[in-house]
Amino acid sequence: MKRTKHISLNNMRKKTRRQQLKPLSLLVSTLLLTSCSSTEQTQVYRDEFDCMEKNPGMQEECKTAFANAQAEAVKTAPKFENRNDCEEMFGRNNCTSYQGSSGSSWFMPAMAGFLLGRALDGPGFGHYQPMFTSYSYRSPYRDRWITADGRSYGNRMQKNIRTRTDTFKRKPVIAKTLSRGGFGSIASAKSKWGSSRGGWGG
Amino acid sequence: MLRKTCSPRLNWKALAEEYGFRFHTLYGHPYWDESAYYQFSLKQIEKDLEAPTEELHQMCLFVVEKVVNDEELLCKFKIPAEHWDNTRASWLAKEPSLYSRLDLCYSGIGVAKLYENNADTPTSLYETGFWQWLWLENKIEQSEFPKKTDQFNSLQEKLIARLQCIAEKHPQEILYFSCCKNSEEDRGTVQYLMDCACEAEIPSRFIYVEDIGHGEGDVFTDLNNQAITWIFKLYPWEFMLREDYGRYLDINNVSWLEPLWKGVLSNKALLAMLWHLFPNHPNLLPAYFEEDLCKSSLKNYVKKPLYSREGANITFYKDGKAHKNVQGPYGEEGYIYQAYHPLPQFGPNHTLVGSWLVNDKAAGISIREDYNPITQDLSRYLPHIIL
Repeated sequence: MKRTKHISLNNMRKKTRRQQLKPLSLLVSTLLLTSCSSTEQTQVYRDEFDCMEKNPGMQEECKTAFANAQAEAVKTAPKFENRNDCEEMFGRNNCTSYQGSSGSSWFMPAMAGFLLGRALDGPGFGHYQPMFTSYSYRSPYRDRWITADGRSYGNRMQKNIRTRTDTFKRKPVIAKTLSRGGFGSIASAKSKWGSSRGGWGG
Repeated sequence: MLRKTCSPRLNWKALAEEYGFRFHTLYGHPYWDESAYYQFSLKQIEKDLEAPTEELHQMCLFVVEKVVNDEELLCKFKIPAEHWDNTRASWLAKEPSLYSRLDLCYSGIGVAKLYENNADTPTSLYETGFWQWLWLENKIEQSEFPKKTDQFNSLQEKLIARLQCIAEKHPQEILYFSCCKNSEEDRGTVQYLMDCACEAEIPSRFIYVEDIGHGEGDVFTDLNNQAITWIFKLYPWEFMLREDYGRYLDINNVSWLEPLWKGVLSNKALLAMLWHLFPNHPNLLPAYFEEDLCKSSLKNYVKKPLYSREGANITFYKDGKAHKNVQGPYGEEGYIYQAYHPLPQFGPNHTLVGSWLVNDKAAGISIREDYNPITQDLSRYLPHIIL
């Protein structure tokens, strides 16, 4: 057979015959979530010293993980244009200013702790993840441990938390956008020819 | 290879609506045309199209290897000098490619000849991978064709498998898909690839090319200021390299589909290079750079801009004199000259075969026909069968 053996027509329909079908992307993510549900008990550490105290003999690992988590926090934490917006979400005096490479400044919540996970492929610790919390009464994150993507891991008083296999996956980097529209100018200049369908494929 | 008329499915427009195929009619003229189809023998498909397609692709890769390592050739291919290193790096790193389409001149008798390689931004993907597939399934269901009727079209299956394979290097990463604003067809093509990504269980998001941002740390950002790390673009490299954000391309770590080295192939200088490296190969037409034209014996030829899409700015020369041309916005980067080798005619129709590759495997064909000898963006799309 020289053609595709099977195509799931339901997934190809843009208008369902019966409206209630959910878009596949949601279904897939649910599937992915259920299939990634193996959990592990992990500790949140306030800082490197907290980590060393609870893991005698792991000074170096704690130091490295703490530094890495801090660097990761700068990249992935939620970012705000001004201090007020940040404090509204994360609480008074819980936001630090951040100086971007372009000289502009913005605000992000301070790292409240970090997670350390056992390496999957050897002894010692392999994964880290910055954790945040909120002290704001108006925030849904109040007194919760959350990761940079906003997922909650339970009450802040609880240091032992259950992680999932995707807890340690890298969170998307949030960057301050300086400009837009740097791609597309040649297409727009050429499109005055207009007789074509207007696409840029061929 | 036969052209046979048949009656369109009674409900095809309703089906198009249901499946979201919106560009089947363009400016009041049919683009998708199922009032006829082309019939091939399995031998024609396997011997004349499938095997040469994979061989031509390997020859093209050989050209990339030559070009990225030779500054004179990079010049001839009009790759801007500031992008030479990055183009070479993209090739040396074997950045994965997704798909290409070779345009072939083939009549059913004799050998197929390569017109050009759409290696960077090929379209008519949805029509091929899904829509003509559905047409055949319906025709078989309705007993209009025998059950054994087949089609050279494993495009969707291969696209999904290829995306899965590329995704192994991008665990849990979001794959962005982008095209320009104001083109329903490009948007539809990109949507189809997103559907394939979904089948491959890859999380994806859409962004228009014009909306891509430049963020601190020289990252590209989406509209939520999230850094883009992996992106498919239905937008030509030759434009991107010359646009404002082109200067960030070599300092950030974005994985692009198609990768940058594909830009070498979607350039018609490729045709002159192929003929130079593989002279008299049965699937090639003689082709020359401008400066070599006088050394050739070409009398009837076609002048093609290095960069152009859908037949724009092509001129026919008969006995060395301009004969017929198509207007368009291309040509400032120069031209190549390819021997005149007209498309076969089936009645009043001039017919072109598009032969698809997913990575390096032949994956099916698409048929376009036109009353005009040059296939252009409004040429009709017809389905085909193997019997």
